[in-house]
Amino acid sequence: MALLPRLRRFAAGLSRDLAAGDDLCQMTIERALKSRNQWAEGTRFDSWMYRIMRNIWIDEVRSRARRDKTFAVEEAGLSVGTDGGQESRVELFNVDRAMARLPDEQREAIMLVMVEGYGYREAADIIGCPVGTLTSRLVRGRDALQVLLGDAA
Amino acid sequence: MTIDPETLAAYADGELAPADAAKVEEAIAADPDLAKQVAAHRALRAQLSAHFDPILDAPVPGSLADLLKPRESAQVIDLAAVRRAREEEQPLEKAPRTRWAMGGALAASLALGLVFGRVAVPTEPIASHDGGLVARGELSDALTTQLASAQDGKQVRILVSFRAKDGRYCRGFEQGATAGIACREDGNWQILRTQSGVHAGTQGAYAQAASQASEIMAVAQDMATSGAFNSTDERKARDAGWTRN
Repeated sequence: MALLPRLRRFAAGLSRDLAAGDDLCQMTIERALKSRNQWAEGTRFDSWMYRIMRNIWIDEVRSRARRDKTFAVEEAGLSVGTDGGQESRVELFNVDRAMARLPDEQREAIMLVMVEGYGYREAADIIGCPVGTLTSRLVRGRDALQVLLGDAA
Repeated sequence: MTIDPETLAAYADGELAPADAAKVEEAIAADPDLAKQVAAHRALRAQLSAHFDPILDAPVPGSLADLLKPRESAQVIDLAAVRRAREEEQPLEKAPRTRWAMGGALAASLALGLVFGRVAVPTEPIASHDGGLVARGELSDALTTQLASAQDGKQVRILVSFRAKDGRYCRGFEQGATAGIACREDGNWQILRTQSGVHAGTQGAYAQAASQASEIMAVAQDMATSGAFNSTDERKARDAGWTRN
């Protein structure tokens, strides 16, 4: 399914690392298959999947992450983008660390708009918040990232 | 005029209406600092994309891909093969009714019965027409009139309605063990794709149906110009007779 790589990307961003993201992907697909009848109302399929993923992330993964927080944060890091030199490796690690420091609601806003490329309206629909709320989370998250990443941004 | 950070971000993300964007552009022209902020916003966006996009090209772990694979008992029907089978079947019917010919016809119809599952009874839902396959009877009626939002207890289930890139109206459906996509063409519902699972116990059949429907939805997503219809759009398209405008 063409959507799968995108789901993995979103999951990796939400759960701060690729392996945890894949677990999240798996739960998302399983739940989507079970509740597929609820989608027939005629909405965008991808948004629907993202919404399911987000709900599971909030319910399960986040509470697990709280349990072993120190471990998860220290180990955070995506093991992709292997063809970069030493310099880009350092920079990649910094993006992960900077993202991991954001409050969850800012990180998901950043992921949906600046990485997944959703419009504000669609992103707000997925999260289930007003567009104004999304925009202010986006701006706060962006400002924090720019500070954390320094001149790189 | 002062531009708040939210408006500036919305401008950088291309989210402003043209009139508002023009105002922001004026303000940017007058204030190099605003221009710098827009550039920084876009640079961050590019940096994040560069960081996360490699996941899109990375191989998907087998454990995830397997979840979406149709089970082995499912068969994606090659429509050309079905047509050939039907054409081969016809001479048999005209042949003298020998035991052998009967056997052949029986075997052929059994094969078709397997392919179409219990959909083949009582009225045949799919028939040949102008070298293609079109929906008939109950399936055709459901495709024409049924809305995805009101189909409790119906034999045919509409999974999704959408406008294809070629301008045709299309609908994903499920009937018994068969799922497929049909597009409106010259007053008929042309069957573009069907997929059928063999019932193998309740648990298996359930998983089967789920994976079939998700495949159909994935195909629909690829065919559609802009996602699935909501119930309003679907009703509008139905009331207009599914004709292109």
